[in-house]
Amino acid sequence: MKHLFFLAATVAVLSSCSNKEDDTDPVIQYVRINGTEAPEHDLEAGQTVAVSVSLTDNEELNQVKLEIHAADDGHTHEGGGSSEPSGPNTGVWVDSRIINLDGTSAERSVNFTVPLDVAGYWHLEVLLIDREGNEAEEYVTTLHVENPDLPVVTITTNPAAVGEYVEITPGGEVGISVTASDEEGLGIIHIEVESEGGTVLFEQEYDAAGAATFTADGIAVAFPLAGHYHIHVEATDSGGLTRMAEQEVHVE
Amino acid sequence: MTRFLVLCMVCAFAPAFAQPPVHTLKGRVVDGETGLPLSDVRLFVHETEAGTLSDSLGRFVLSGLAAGRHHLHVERIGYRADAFYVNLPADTTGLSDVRMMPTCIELRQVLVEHSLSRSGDRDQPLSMATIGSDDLDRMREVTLAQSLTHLAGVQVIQTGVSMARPVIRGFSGNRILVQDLGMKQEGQQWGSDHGLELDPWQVERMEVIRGPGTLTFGPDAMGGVLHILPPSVPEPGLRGTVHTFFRSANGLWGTSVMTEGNRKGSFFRARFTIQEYGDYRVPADSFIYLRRGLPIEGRRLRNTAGREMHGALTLGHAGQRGSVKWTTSVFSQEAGLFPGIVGVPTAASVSDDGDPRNVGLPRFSISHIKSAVNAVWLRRRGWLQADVGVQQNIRAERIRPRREGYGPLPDTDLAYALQNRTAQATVRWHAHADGSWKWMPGASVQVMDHSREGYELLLPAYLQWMAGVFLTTEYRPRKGTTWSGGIRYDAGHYRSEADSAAIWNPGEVLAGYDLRIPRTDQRFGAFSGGLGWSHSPAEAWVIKWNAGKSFRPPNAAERSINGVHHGTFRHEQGDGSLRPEHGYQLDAAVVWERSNWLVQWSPFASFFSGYIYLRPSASFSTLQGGGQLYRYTQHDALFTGGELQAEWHPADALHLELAMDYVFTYNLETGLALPFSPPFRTQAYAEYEWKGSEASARVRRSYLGVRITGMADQWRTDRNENATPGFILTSCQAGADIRLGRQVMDIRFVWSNVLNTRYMNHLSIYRQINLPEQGSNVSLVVRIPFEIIQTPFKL
Repeated sequence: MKHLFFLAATVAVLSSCSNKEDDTDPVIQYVRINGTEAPEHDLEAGQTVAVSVSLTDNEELNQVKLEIHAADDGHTHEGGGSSEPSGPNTGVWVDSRIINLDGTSAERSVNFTVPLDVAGYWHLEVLLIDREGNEAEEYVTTLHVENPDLPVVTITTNPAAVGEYVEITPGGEVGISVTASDEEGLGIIHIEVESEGGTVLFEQEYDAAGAATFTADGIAVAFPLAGHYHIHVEATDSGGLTRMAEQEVHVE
Repeated sequence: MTRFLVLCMVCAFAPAFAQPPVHTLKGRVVDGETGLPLSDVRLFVHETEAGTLSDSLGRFVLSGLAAGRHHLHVERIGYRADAFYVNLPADTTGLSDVRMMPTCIELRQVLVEHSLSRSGDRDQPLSMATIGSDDLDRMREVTLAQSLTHLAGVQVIQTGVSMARPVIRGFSGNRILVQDLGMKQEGQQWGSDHGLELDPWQVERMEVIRGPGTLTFGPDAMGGVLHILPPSVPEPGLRGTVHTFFRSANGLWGTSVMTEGNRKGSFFRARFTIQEYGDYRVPADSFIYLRRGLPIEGRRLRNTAGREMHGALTLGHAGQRGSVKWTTSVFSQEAGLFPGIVGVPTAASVSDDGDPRNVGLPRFSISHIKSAVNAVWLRRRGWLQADVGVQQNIRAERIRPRREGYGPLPDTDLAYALQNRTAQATVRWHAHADGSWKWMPGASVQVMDHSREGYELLLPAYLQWMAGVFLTTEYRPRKGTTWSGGIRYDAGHYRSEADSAAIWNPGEVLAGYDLRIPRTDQRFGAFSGGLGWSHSPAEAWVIKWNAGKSFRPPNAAERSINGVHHGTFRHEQGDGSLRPEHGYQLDAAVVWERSNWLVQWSPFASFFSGYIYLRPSASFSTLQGGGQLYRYTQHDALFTGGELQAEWHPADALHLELAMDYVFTYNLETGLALPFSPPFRTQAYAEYEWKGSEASARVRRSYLGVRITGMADQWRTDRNENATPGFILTSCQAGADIRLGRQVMDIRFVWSNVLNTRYMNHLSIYRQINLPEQGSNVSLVVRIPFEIIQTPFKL
């Protein structure tokens, strides 16, 4: 019984060694946006983005996935792309395409359209798998969208932010001043101070009534408890376009 | 339900408390080499658990025994444990001195409980280890499973900050059965990444079986068994212990209080444990989830703090003709989930929230309630053992509501509420040895009902039952040779409901439903069997082998899961057409031992037909943030490897140990290794123990130990699985039994990863997100025993 078992196991191993499945990863040769290959691309709201990819595998390609997601939170990717958030993105841009492939090489082009109401930083992530499920090293590039049609918002605090955040001690107070401007005229300005746990310390909505500029100052918010907080400002212009801005407060 | 069970058991076992003529067994225990009397020897009748200790002259008196055959266990630290039969009233006065042979080998100082013979490890064809409370106190880690990692052939899969599962010879999850209170510990139906929902302080003794335990324990034991042994029946009197403990890695502190009493065979035991811990420290500044690199502020994993509260109560009676115990235990845990591994995380969601001990969103809570009756009824030709119990396992995960596509925002933060209710009964008849043969027929049945709530869909509701009948036997043709074997048949039925996810168009308009999980209705059944041989050609040598066939039906996750599983960081999909996997396993061992030496080599080889594992599907998940879809698949596979252990006591006080283990896994269809294959490991341990010369000494026993663990590179990986570099870890442990006036206390100290080495564990799920294991960690346990009443007391 023992000898039979070992014999069977050995035969099974040896016979299958020659049948080892392909475990070589496929390769993303390049990803070009509007014809150029770069770690970051400057785009404008409403623009069409032509993405072309070149892909290879030693045996058989299977699927490529192109995904666009927000990059305003400071996350990074091993596959490239920068992360230099200058505040929260304005508007939502999420898109994902899965394309079936075959053969050992493929070139594909896909068009995306930048939404009219967005501004900020996004990542374009390209993933590739072959017929056995081997995964290629991902490719990521940053898409920077400028949108001159959106309102401009500035948050000023007292004490002023040092680096990325304002730092105070529990029980301290922060003076907040907000300015907004838009050539087409401003509508509603919404200011909110919220803890990371979701507790709202201050919330106020202002109607700029079409004025080109708006200022709210003299806002004083007390922070009784230690924790991390966010000052959110949302300014909407007469055309319905919205800009968001944010300032972080650390109470320690 | 519990009261009904107790009533049934009491009625069934009422004859155990009848009052037939009683007998008293008297005798003396002596050292087998010197002939000197031995005190503090524990003698007890296995079937009824009636026991006593020998006095300073080695004398013992076991009273209140019924006429008939009794299986007597004899155990003492420093001596080889033994067991033999006594016949009453014939042996009442004719029992000669019980001779115990000295040994420094701890393995030989306990008996194996799970086996048919209740004999020493030498007679067992399977490789196993028994761990007592002192060993556990010395090796206490964050979880019970982690405390076992020093055993050869046993490693752990780290599945969360305070969760871990044992890996025995490369098997884990549903291939390792955890037996507690005579029942299979449930909690694996939702994926094999969930930890053991057991109060680690409630566990005082356990057996670890390396190899298939299917024959005795059922289908899920095909890779090994963690058998939690019930605490011994308390000595007459009223006493208890207080454990208080601290761990530095997550600021854990806690207390566990146990009290027990016994009056004329009626006994109780109660334990209450409370512990709290803060956010976990890790030696890393960033991690990767769903391919996104995110920062770890202050090297602490935000929102991984938690609190736990556990309790257990046992009431029982040990009579002349048997014993009955009723135990109810509650395991309750609430802890934060690291926001970096839930949903699509952002850098803000994992940034420091300023409070390392709060539990915010997302978080999970677990409530595991178990109630069981364990009874033994002694008869003239053997004894009947029955284990009947129910358990309810509830897991809830609360996650800040989020929109799915264009759908509405859920009006609750309850993402998952999984409820699992199980009832199980096992009956065994242990026939006394008839000449050279022993027999144990038995039967077991289990019914499981699972339901779900919450706005996230992962597993459907399902109902499963399983039943099995078995016959095991043991044949001893002559002293030193044991044949053992048996056959078992299990059958069952699994039925899950279909479940769908809503599809929304812009404007929160319901467009229809996507059938995410199809209905599954499957019957299964198969034979298991085994044959083993243990032979001692000379006193120093033991040779043994065991050949077994086992099977395991797919679990609910393997059949029906469909969604992004936060615990494994990817989209997993079950397959309702999976068939049970079958294992053909061969284990062997060669042992050489002297009173101060033990060398053991235990090779094994297993072939699995239809081994179930998660395989990349070669297609992308359509869920937001999802990468490649992983689907449960069946392939034939081979596991082989072994353990080499050596133990040497050059002097009584010095203990040296070397252990090596390796597992080679091979997928016979892909030609690759299976995922999470343990790398080659070597452990060296040296301990020096000082024994106080007098019982009144302030420090009665103290020890200092150093352990070095070397893990080799693991480059044999499955597809898309990264290789893991090897590492060397050093840990220290020390302890002392201290007497302060009349009070005794034990202090145990473990300093793991002394050099604060940054390393990845190949078996850790967290390796996939580039999170290293914990750095330097100090654990301190203080145990204070107390005695309220020494002698039998009145209730």
